[in-house]
Parts: sequence; C-alpha cells; structure tokens
Amino acid sequence: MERSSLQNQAAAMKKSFFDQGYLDEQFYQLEELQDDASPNFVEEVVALFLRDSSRLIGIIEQAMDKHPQDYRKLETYMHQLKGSSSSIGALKVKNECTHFRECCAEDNLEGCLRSFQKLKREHAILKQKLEAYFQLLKQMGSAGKATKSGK
Amino acid sequence: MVVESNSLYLFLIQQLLCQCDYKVTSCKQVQEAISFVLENQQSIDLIISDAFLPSEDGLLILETIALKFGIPVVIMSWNGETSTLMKFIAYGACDYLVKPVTLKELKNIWTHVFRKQIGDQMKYLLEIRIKHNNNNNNVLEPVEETKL
Repeated sequence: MERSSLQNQAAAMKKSFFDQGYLDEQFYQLEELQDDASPNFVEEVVALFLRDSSRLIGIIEQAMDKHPQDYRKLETYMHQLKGSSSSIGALKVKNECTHFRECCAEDNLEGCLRSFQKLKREHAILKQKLEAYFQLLKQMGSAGKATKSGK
Repeated sequence: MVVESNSLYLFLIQQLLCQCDYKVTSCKQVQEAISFVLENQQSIDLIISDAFLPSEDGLLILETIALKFGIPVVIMSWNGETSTLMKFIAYGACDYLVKPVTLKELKNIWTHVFRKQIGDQMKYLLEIRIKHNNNNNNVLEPVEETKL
C-alpha cells in the first residue's frame, strides 16, 4: 500500500478517536513527548496502559464476586484505573471509572455492576481501536522507508 | 526525585522530565523516598511527589524532608480541589500541580530550585552583614552591592 494512503488512513482513524470521544487532549501531550530519542514512546505508553488496565480489570472482577462488597477497596482500584486512563487520555474509560466510583460511594451494587460491564466494553473497544491504529503505523513504517513522516 | 505509585504515570512523568533535561531518580512509595533522601541529601535538588490521597502520605514528605532539609517539594495530584491544594501548600509544598501535568508546567519547576538557592545565598549574605554590624557595635555601614 502507498505510504500516503496509509498516512491518510491513520490520520482519519486518529481523528475518529477524538470525534467519537474515545481519546482527549492528553493523547496529544503523549505525542508531543515522542521524538528521535524515544521514537516509540506513544506505543510504549499505550501498551503499558493496556497491560496495566487489563490487570486491574481482572482484579476488580474478582473483587466484585466477593460478598459482602468491599466498596472502599473497589474505589481504590478504580482510582488507579482512572489515573492510568487519564494519563493516556482514554476519555470514555476514565468517565466510566468516575461513574463506578460514584456508585461505590453510595454502596450501590446494581450501579457498580452495570457500570463495570460498561467499563469492560469501553476498554475492549479502545484496546481494539488502539491496536489497529498502531498496526497501521507499523505498516506505514515499513512502506516507504525513504520518506520521513510529516507531522 | 519523583515519588509516584502508578507505574504508567511514573513512566510518563519520567519522560516529561527527561525532555526538560532533568536528571530523575524515582520511587514508588513515600517511605522509600524518605530513606533515599536521608542517605543522599546532597544529590536531590527537587522532589516531585504525588499527594497520595486519601491517606495524604505526601504530607510526610513535606514534614520530614521539606521542612527539615529545605529541599523544595512540588506536589501533584488528580485532585484539584482548593482545600486539598491549600492544605499541602500550608504544610510546605512550594507548588501543587493538578494531573495530568503538562510539559510547560514541568519546564517551569526549576524556578523553585533557583529561588531556593537565591534565598539561601541571600540568607548567607544577611548573616554576614549582621555579624559584621555586631562587631562594629551596631554601627550600620553601607553594605557593598553584591552581584549574584
């Protein structure tokens, strides 16, 4: 595939993430930190986030199965997840974390369960989108090595 | 030195600081940070620490290090409430940054270190002046303007 067409595809994909509210401005901050000294910084941070967040979601899932619920513990886990999501600009995931914590504060089990399901869904969608995006960037990297990427 | 328990955020902050050409030592826990500074006072010019809410362990760093050794401490947190901010400032934080911290904010942090160093120099000069005045039986003499 031609490099410029891949570039257009990648740009359109990235724009859709912002338009659809999956990512916010914090993602731009990450991109600003990428340079020749750290050429894969964004991908590394995102990979770290996906690993970290998947692990936390697993822990929360186990904690949710316990009865009675330890809402304070759940709040703490969610706080960590929210922090990580905010770090990369994962807007929808972050918002769902906030909602979950609100349900915890009210000891609202129903609310927590619903919110957690939604969070898992949002997380899975974001994971899929970001992985596809970086896959495309890799393809761009291998197509046309002679051309330097314009920002 | 950076004190931050979230690995992802720590990674991000380290990158931000390296871009500003700061040399970074990192710790994930407050006690670890305190021990390190006690053993390596001279090597740390500035501490950037999470507030560690809700336990507020960040206050420990202010109490044990900022006040005792005079190392400037900047606190950062996802919590941007004025009351929290004011509490940490009252305990001795020289700045409070709301996460996510921007490159611009970090680039300006060096001013805290500079201000402290200038402050130390001024204190030193003042002490010399006072000693000098006392030796001359409280006769005030004009002090030469010192170039910094």
